[in-house]
Amino acid sequence: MMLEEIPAFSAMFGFIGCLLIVALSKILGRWLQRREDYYRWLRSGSGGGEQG
Amino acid sequence: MIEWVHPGLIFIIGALLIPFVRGEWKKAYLLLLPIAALIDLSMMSEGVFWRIPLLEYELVFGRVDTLSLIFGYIFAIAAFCMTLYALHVKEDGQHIAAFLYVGSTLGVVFAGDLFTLYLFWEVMAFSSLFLIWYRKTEASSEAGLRYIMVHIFGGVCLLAGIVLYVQETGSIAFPYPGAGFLWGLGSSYLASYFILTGFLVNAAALPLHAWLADAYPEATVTGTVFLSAFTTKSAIYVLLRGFPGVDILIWLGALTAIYGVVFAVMENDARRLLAYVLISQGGYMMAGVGMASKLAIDGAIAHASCCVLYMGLLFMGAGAVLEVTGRSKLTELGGLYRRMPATFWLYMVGALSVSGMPFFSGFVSKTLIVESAAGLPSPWVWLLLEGASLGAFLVAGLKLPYFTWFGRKEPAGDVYRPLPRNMPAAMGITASLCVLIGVYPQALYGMLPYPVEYHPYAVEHLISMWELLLFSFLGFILVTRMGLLRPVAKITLDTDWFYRIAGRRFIWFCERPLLDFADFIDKMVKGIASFLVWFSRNPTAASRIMLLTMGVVLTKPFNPVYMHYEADLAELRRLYPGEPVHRVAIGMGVLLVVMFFVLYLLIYLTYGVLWT
Repeated sequence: MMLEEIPAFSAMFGFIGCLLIVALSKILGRWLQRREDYYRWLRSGSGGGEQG
Repeated sequence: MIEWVHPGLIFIIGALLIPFVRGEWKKAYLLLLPIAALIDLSMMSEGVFWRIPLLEYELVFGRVDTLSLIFGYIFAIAAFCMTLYALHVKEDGQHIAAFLYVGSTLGVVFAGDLFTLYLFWEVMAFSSLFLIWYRKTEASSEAGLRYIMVHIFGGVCLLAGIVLYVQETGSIAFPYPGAGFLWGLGSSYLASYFILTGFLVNAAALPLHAWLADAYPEATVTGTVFLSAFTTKSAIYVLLRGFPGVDILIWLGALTAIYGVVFAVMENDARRLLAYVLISQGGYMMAGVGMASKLAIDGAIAHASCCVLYMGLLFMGAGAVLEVTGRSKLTELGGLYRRMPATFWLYMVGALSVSGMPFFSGFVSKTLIVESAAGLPSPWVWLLLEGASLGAFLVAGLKLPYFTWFGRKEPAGDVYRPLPRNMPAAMGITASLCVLIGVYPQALYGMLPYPVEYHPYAVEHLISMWELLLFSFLGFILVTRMGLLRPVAKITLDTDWFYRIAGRRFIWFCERPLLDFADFIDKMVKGIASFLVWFSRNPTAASRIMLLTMGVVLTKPFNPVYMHYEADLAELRRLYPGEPVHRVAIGMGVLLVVMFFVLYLLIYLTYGVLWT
C-alpha cells in the first residue's frame, strides 16, 4: 500500500481522523439533533399533518 | 444413528420447562442449558441431518459444516455468559423469551433449506420482541412495536424472495458456502434482491439500520445484552452463505461502519451509543462478506465471533450502570468510578477489544478484514474501515467511559441499587474470553474454514496500531478540552424518522382527506338512492312536484302567479305519495322506454365511428 509507506501515517491518520469524525458529527448534529421529546412533542402538537 | 440432538432444540424445549423448575434449582437449570448445548455441539460431526419430507420438498434442520459449527459454538458460549448476567431476573417470561431467541438463532444457523430458515427467522424476531417489551415502559412498548414492524417487513421480503427462488429453481436448498445465490443486474435476479433485503434488515445495514438504535436501548438491562449478539450476527452468517462476493456489500459495509461511529459521537444515551457502535461493527463484517477473499471470509467469521463477546461485554457494562443508578444518559452520569471501579475495568476490556487494541480480541479479527481491504484497488474502503476503527475507540473506549465514570467530581445520582453479583461474574468471564482470544488468537483461527496465514503480532502491525490509538487519544483530549464532545441532552434523527413521521403523515392523509372523500362519495350515492326510492313511490306526482318546484323557483322573481304554484306544491307534498295516476304513468313509462332505446341506438350506431 502506498499510504502505509508514508512515515508516521498511522499517527497522522489517528489524529486527523479523530478530528474529522468529531467535526462531521458536529455538522450533522446541527441538522439532525432535536429536543429529547421531539417525537412526543410532535404528536401532542397540532395532532397530525404537522411540519417537522 | 445420531447421538446428539439439535442444539436449538435444547434451548427451545428447555425454555418451555423453565416455569416448572423452582427456587435455587432454577438458576442451576438456566446455566445448565447452554452448557448442555455446548457439550452437544462438541459431539456433532459434519454432515446433513434431521431431514423431514414436506410435500414434494425436504426440510433440513441440521446442515453441519465448519461455518455453522463455529457460529453454533460462539452463540452457545455467548448464551452462557448472558444467561449468567441475567440470572437474578425473577420473571420466567424474560428467560423463556431469551432462550427461545437463542434456540431459534441456532435453528437459523443449522437450517439447510430456505423454509426452515424462514421459520426460525420469524421465531427469532417475535421472541426477541419480548426482551424489549419486558422493560414495561411506554417508550419500550412503542419502540418494540416499531421493531417488530421493521422485522415483519424484512421477513416478508425474505419470504417473497424464497417464493420467487423456489418458483425459478424448483428447489428450496439454501446454497452451500462458495455457491451463494445467483447475483447480477436485471429482473431475473429479483429473488436474490428480495432475499438480500431481508438479510440486510437483520444485519442493520445502512439505511435499514435504524430499528437497532431505536429498539435495543429500550429493552431490559439483560435483554439488550442478548439482543446485541444474535440477530445481527446470524444475519452475517446467512450473508456469508448466500451472498459472498457481492460487490455492493463492500461499500455498504464500509459506509455503515463509519456512519455508526459518527452517529455514536452525537449520541447521549450510553446504550444507544453502543447500539451505533454495534451497527458500525456489523459494517466490517458486511465488507468482509463482500470482498470474499479467503482472508476476508475468515475475517468476517472471526470478527463476528469476537464481536458477540465484546459487544455483549460493553452492553453488560452500560447495563450494570443502568441497573445501579437507573440512568443511562451521559448528561446524567459521571463520577461513578468511586462507586463502580470493577465495572469500569471490565467494561474497558470490551472497549479496548472493540477499538482493536493489541492483545484484546478485536485486534486479531478486525485486522483480517482491514488487511483484505488494503488489497482493494480503491483505497477508500480501507480508509473508511480504519476511520471506523479509531471512531469506535473514540466513542466506546473514551467518550462513554469518560462521561460515565469520570467527567465530574461528585458521583451522579442519589439512589443506588445494589449490583446483583452474577452481573460482574458474567462480565468477568466474558472479559477473560476477550483477552484469551486477543493473547492466543490461534484458538479462534484454528476453527476458521480457511487456514490463516496472517500474523497480527508482527511488529509493524503493533506499532502502527498503537500509533493510531495513541494519536486518536490525543485528538480526544483536544476535542474534549474544546468542549466538542460534551454530551448534550438531545436526540438525533435517523432513518426511523421516515416511518415515525412520514408514516404518521400517511396515516393522517388516510384518516382526513381520503376518508372525507370517501364520505362524500358515500353521501352522494345514498342521496341518489333515496331520491330514486322517493321518486318511484309515485313517479307522476313526484315529477309534478319537481316541475312545480322548478316553476316556483324560476318564476318567483318575475311573476306573482308563483303563489298559485306554491299552494299547489304544498298540497302535493302533503298528499305525497298519494294515489299514482295510472293514465299518465303509462305514457310516462312508454316515454322512458323509448328514451332508453334511443340512447342505446345512438351508442350502437356511433360505436366504432365516433368512439371506440
